[in-house]
Amino acid sequence: MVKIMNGSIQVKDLNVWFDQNHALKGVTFSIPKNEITAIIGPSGCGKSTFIRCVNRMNDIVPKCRVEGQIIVNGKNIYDPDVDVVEIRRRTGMVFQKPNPFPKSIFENIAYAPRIHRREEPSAKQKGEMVVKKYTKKELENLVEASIKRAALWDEVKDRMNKSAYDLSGGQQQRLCIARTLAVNPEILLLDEPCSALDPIATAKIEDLLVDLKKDYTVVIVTHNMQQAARVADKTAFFYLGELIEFDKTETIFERPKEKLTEQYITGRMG
Amino acid sequence: MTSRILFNQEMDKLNEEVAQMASLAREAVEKAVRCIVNKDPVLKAEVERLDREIYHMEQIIEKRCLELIALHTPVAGDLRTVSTCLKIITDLNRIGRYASDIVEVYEVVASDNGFHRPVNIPHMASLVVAMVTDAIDSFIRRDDRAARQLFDRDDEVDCLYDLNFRAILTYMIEDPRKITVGTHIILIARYLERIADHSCNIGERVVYMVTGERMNPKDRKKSTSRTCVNSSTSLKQDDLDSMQRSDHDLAEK
Amino acid sequence: MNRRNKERAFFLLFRGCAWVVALALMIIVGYIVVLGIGTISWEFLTQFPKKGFTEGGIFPAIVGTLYLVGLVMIIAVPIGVFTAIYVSEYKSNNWFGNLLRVVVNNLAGVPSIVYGLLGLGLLVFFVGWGFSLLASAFTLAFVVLPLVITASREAIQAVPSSLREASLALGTTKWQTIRHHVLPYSLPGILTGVILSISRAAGETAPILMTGVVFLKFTLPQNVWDTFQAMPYLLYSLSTQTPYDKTQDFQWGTALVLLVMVVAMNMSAIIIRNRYREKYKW
Repeated sequence: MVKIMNGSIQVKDLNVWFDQNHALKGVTFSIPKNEITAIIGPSGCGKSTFIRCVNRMNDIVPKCRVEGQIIVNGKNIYDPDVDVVEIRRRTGMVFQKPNPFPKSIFENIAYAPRIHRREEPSAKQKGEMVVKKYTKKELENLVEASIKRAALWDEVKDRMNKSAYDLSGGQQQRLCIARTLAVNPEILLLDEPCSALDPIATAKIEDLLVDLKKDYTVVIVTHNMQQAARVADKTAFFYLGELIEFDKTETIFERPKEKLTEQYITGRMG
Repeated sequence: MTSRILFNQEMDKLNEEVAQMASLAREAVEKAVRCIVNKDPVLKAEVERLDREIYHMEQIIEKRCLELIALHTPVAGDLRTVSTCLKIITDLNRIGRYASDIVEVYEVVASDNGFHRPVNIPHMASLVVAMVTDAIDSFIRRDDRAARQLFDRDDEVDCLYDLNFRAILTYMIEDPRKITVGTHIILIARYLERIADHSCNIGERVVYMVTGERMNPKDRKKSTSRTCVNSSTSLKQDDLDSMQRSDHDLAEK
Repeated sequence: MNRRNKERAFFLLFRGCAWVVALALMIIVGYIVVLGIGTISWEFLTQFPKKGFTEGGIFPAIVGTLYLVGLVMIIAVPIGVFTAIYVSEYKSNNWFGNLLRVVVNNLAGVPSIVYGLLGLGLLVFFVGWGFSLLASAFTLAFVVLPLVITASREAIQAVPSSLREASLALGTTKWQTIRHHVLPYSLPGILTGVILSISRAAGETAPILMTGVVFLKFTLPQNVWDTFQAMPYLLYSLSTQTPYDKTQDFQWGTALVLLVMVVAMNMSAIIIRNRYREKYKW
């Protein structure tokens, strides 16, 4: 699997409206690459809205208007000449409730790479022949590598052709992570990935994230502050659509600068 | 408006208990000083009892702090408060211990007539008692400015200790019969100086608790003993007189 | 009456109704089977009718019905499914989408004879196809289209949006998502719509009456522009235009064959649907 080149994200004055509701107000900060950045805040503060802007998933929501810039690798992803589908490949997303396809484990992982291979432009000008199809062996290797990277191989290597729905919640979520890794993204976005899981499964996924940050930029939305404290290098606190504070995790949890931040993390908000 | 009722109750109890332990420590120091200066034997048993109670409270409070951390995972301001409490109970316990050490030598000191020249233990003691009181107050009131002021006063106490040390040493050389009592008084002065140091520790922790700032060690010890000797020569005549008077009383008894 | 008795009374009422329905169905089917089974023979199924429908078979009507149903499916299923996809998946909050929704919901209620008239005026005369298999097939397609669209739309909308989002988040286009995920998973529901339309198409008489079916012909339809025979119409014609005592065998036999054919088509569609359900259960 190819190592990523870049992956830092600069957010500049991001504003989002859902109809008349101003969901995100002037958010500006920089997410460093090869680090885990956690986004915390009470319900409805805009953290999920924000993360869905980074891979433009908000485009499919009707009546959603986005202004401002999100610059990944020097290019604003909201520029009109940008290929949304390519953005989404480079920015993988794992959702709150594990959502594997109702197919076999193998097919779950193989689905997207197969399509992307087919879509690759042929490199005729280079004089090379780009093969539009994976051989069986290539695909198997890719699937195996993805599942190994997601720390799931030992548990599923004997049942690659069984339905993904036979796995436990934690395993399904790791399968979703493997599925995302298979398309070789630069950035991993996780929207409350452990909220539906038990503590043991949660711990496994947190260990996995700490391992993954070597190769990817990880952004995780979580309502569990202890999780943010455990795994994140930097933490951003959102409240009512605004970014209140963004700093190293140790600082946020030991000596937050904003009173609102202190109120929220000590549980004295509402 | 606040949630986490259980947690807030526990934090309130913690504050109460630390304040209580602190006032016991202050009482112990005050009574120890009075015991020695006023030669009051009743206070000795009092101080020893207080020391035991202080020790017992340290254990209770430490347990409460650890429970708070394990069960409620405090963060930010709450975390700093809990860690501060954990640390200052050590200082308060030591203060209690020193108070008890001071009254331990009561018999030896009381039976003696003192020195024919002034030794200003009472003055030093009153400074130290004031420092302990102010350190505890700054914790209760969460006043980091008051806490910072303790460090200068600590320098003064250190100065006085140096003065007394040299003076008593001289007296002991002049009159070898005074060596035993002199040594004990030096120790008493030492204990007082250590109590002042621990009060400073408390002040340092209070600054951290309120602001999150960790103090530079250089800020604590500003003056050296050399400067102190200089300041001793600038002692005002009134101070000298008052010191002489109080020691004269000591010598008379 | 206390609670438990009331409970029991209602339960018996519901069960009684169910029994009435089951009984009615059994009587109808039983009647047809009993009266028709005697007529069924290899000859009946493969020969043209002879001697005024007293000998031979109903082969042309069987073939005609099969052709008709096949053509109707070819026309209605793609149009219906793609319309359902458009309405469910793509932005349809505009005037066109809303219009489409209203039209589909109301089309189902139009009497089938009105469709027949429509077919006659529009396809047979105006467009100029004349009385033909094609005209009948198209007319019938309009009859079953609302069924297909509604069932497909429900099935497509039943696919959880989390699966769509998962696919989109992997960097695939909307069409790829539909093709590889939405459609396969909604196949059982779509097939339900297909099943219903098959039964409808095979059994409707009025629309084909006015657009291309004939009572008696000695050849099979040569191409789509040809007229054809069909079992429902055959049954109707036999019972109204021929003496009952002479042709009753044929009538009951036709009814039985029609019934069996529809049931067989339904069964195969159900089997296919169940297979897909197993494959993609979530």
